[in-house]
Amino acid sequence: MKSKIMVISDSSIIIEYPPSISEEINNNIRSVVKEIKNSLSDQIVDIIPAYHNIIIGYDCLEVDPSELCEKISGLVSGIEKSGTEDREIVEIPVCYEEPYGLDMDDVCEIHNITKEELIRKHTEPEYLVYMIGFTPGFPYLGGMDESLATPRKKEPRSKIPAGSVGIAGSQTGVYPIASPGGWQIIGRTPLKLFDPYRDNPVMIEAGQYIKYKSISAEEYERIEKSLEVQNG
Amino acid sequence: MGSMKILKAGMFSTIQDRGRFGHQAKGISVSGAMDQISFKLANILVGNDENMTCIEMTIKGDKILFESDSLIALTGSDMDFKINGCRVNINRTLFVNRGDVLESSFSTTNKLAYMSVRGGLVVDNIMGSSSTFLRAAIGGHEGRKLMDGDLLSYPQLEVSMSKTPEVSLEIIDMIYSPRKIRFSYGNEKDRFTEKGVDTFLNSIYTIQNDSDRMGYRFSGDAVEHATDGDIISGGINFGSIQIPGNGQPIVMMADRQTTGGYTKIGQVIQADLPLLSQKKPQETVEFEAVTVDHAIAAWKKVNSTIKEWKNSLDYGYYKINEVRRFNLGFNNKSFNVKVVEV
Repeated sequence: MKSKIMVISDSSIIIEYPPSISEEINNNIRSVVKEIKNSLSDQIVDIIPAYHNIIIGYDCLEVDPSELCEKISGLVSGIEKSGTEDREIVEIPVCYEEPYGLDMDDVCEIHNITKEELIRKHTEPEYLVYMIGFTPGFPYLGGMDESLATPRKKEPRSKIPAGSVGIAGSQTGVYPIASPGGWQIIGRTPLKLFDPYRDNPVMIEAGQYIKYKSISAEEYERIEKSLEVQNG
Repeated sequence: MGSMKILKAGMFSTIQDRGRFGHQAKGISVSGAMDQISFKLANILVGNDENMTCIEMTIKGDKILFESDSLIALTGSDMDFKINGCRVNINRTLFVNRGDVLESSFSTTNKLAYMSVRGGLVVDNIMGSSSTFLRAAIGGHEGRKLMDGDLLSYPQLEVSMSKTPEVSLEIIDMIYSPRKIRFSYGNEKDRFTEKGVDTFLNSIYTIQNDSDRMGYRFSGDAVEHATDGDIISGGINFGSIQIPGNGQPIVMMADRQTTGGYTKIGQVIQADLPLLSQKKPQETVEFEAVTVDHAIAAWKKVNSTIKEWKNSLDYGYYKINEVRRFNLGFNNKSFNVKVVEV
């Protein structure tokens, strides 16, 4: 796949693909990231994969960026596979009921559909995690039913509780930590997407697929309690 | 273990090291010291590894009671620091004895001060770093800014110094002499019109009051976009200069989010990040474009100059148990005297 590698500053290099949101480009990016981590981890400081580019951090006191670009170029040119063979699906239980679906009624009204219909449309797809960014573990998802696209709230909330599942424009996502935001909140998951004290602090990775599963408020509380017990 | 107590917290103090690297793909910000050079100098002054955990104070410093002897250093900003009421210099190693109180007031020059302590502050290491990352409430002291009554630990002093090293003026001048802030263009320069780039290079920008560890916001002549200020979200760096739709620059700082959706005109060079980070709201900045090669050469110069100074230092180390204490009476006063064999 065609890409461009460029030194953009005294601390970073970019690998750029055509500027679009596509599963093919995104899959390619994941293969490249994996390869760079395998072969060049001792020469890079950090790596940020996104929709259509990869930022690679380097230390110019240790590494010559032109040489690093050449090495990266060698790795990238050998990668052609798109890596879609085995979909890794992460099921996220979501309670769409009160008191979690803060904007559920509004969103149903905007689209003139029933709550059941909205839940069906929202739980049906397998959403590709294109990238993680913004806050710890925040997944940028693709694949929402276009008929659910909803404008952001005019007045952003100053605090959206962790685990909240929402819609903003044609995007859907889940907040790993409490943060301010203007997303329309339709439910909440009892799972902790981000827990710094866990071996793997961030639950979801780019390249995985998310599938939401509707649960009752009782089920939500049961899962939440069992997680509390596990964490002591 | 030694300890210090925050008697009165400053305006905004957090515990930081160099930063939390390698987790940005998971959305974890790097955090770490805003002014990496003053942070490093503070550690060198007390003979620490360069990445040991320090306190970063903002605009007004903390009042701290030392409950054990130690060596400390204050760098970056002079916040009118006093130990037991006596004025002390920044950029120099200082002895503190059990019971000593460090006081500070508002900075008159730079924005950020760093306080190192011999052996580094002892706090939990989360994902490879002790740095406070406020939005995720992790690292540092309980993932938050310091508050009145907080107790911080540091290793018992085993080795002391007979000398008190001082940062050379050459280094301070090199890092903080007033000048334009240099940046290199990235890969999105063509997202701006020629006129827009011209505006950016020839205008004076004022740092806004809502600037923080995440980003410094500027106001000034609006930078014109070729089309608009939005891009498909992608990774950003320390010093990335975002220009959103309103044409007003935002420079991404230590607690920046890992990805952003605004066009970037370039990135501030590492050698000028300390100078920029030390600017307070309402101060003005002008930007100057340089090549990446220039940026790298400047950063190498900064680091080699500091290394040279560090290698030339004589700490006059001695083991604490070689110290003998006497109580002497003189003119009806009692003095506690330390005798050190060097």
